[in-house]
Amino acid sequence: MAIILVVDDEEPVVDLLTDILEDQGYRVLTAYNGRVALQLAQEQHPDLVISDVMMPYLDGIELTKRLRAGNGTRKVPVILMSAAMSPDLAACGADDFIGKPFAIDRIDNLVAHYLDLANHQKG
Amino acid sequence: MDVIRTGVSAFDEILGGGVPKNTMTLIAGVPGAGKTILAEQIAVQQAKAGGRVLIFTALSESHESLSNTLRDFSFFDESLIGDRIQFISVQAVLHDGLNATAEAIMSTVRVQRATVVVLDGFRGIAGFATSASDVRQFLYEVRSQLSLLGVTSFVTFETTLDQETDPGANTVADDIVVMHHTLAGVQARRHIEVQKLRGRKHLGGLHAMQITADGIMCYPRHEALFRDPNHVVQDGRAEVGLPELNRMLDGGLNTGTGTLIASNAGVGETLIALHFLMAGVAIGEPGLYVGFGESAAQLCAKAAFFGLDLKGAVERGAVDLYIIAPVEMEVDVVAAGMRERVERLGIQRLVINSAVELENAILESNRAPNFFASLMNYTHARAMTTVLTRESAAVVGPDITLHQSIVTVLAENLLVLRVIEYRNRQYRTNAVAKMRQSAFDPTLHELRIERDRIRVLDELADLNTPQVGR
Repeated sequence: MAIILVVDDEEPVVDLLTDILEDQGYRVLTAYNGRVALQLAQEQHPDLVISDVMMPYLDGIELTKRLRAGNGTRKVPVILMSAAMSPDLAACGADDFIGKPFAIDRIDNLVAHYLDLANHQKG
Repeated sequence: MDVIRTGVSAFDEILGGGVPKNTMTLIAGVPGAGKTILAEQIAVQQAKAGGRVLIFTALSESHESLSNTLRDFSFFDESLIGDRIQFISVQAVLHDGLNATAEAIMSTVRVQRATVVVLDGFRGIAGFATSASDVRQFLYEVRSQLSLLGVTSFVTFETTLDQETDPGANTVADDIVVMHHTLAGVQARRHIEVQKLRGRKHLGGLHAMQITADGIMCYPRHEALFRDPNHVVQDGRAEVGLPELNRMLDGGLNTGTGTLIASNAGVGETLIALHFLMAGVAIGEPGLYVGFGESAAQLCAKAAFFGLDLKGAVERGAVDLYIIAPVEMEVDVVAAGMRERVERLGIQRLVINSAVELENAILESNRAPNFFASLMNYTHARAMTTVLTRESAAVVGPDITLHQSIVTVLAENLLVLRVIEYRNRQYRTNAVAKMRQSAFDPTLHELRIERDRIRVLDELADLNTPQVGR
């Protein structure tokens, strides 16, 4: 069962993404800021991270940079999400971006795509 | 910010275009204010546009009885129920608490891929909360998740939004619409008010509203639409159809200006107004007559008596008669009807007979000056040559009460018609009291209504010291 880490400072957003992903059979880890998310990622090694951009302590861009810099988290796919403009994905090392609001099908497709990609790379 | 069109007559105009997408709108009001009708009318419009609508209700009514409330309205489409619109009761799950209710709602929204959600009867949901903060938390959770999924939502809430009874729903909702249902004396009145709208400029204040067979009809407050003076100075004169009066006016009224005909009751103001309209017909200027007393048939007969083929002009579409019974009128409903005709028919000459009925329809103190100022702003912006009549209650004499009427100040031209008594005879008199940006004849003339014509005679030379009034 794939593990997905969901990070957002808004509890309803985390709850909604958790429900959507659990409906698809994934196991979901949750965090409400980048600092806790980084710690969880280092300890639990999720298969995918979906993170908000603007958060307290450590924002989504800085979280991505630190994940890329860590030995155990360097290759984890990261999808950033925001209601604002898309950040410079290449500069921070994120794999994709999803704007808020989003369609459930878009989330499902993105998650499936990056988990498949990660599996192929592992294989 | 993108919006959804509500499909509710003139409501989008009040909203500044529509309801912002992905927001939660609280529709608040007292029982019977029309909250459910408004929400369901918007829902049906969205379903017709291809959306998927879920209507959650806290009521224990059957789906059949819920959709029955819609069937009486022309906007309803039976084929939408079940496919595009679903009614879902949360009555059973409410007993498990608000968290379970929120989960049930959101789970259904996710599965159904809804685009519009209505929570109808939120007072019933809030009744299951143990505290006001529970209510806020429930709405916050549902609003945030719906917004994240791109769902636009509407919550009907039986409340007056005062501090005593509101559990804080208004602080969570993105947009707040209040539907007012009040009494003015014995007259029931409905108004709609957009109190808060995220990211959009809207028309503030109260706007008249009606519930009709076509659903909710809104009528934006006229002064909210036409706040700014926008007078386009026109060249040319609008002849009034009476040669002698044209001479007094130095050729006619300045095109695009407003004229007040102030008079004793029944002096001939309607006749002058009809001549003005028919003079426009003769040169191809479409005219609109807004009247409150006489019927269209009476007006046509009166005009025919004086050789004016008003009936023919109406039949040809050269003149439109907009007759409203002066019974419990809403002035904004009248104004909306007038504007619709002006825009549709390209009206160039407008008669309002009389301003008194409009003043009587304005029930709010101190509103009349604002209304009439905005009315003049509108007629000026449309470059319509406009004649308003305003008769005094006095049948005879100088007592033409004008000091209370802002129109006296706003109108560029002022004609005063009086009846004076001298010895054993009554004289109708006509004078131009004011005419901006024009020369005019300031002397008093006799206005004579004969068997089949109306004439303005030379000045009253034989009345050196008329005994005015009694």
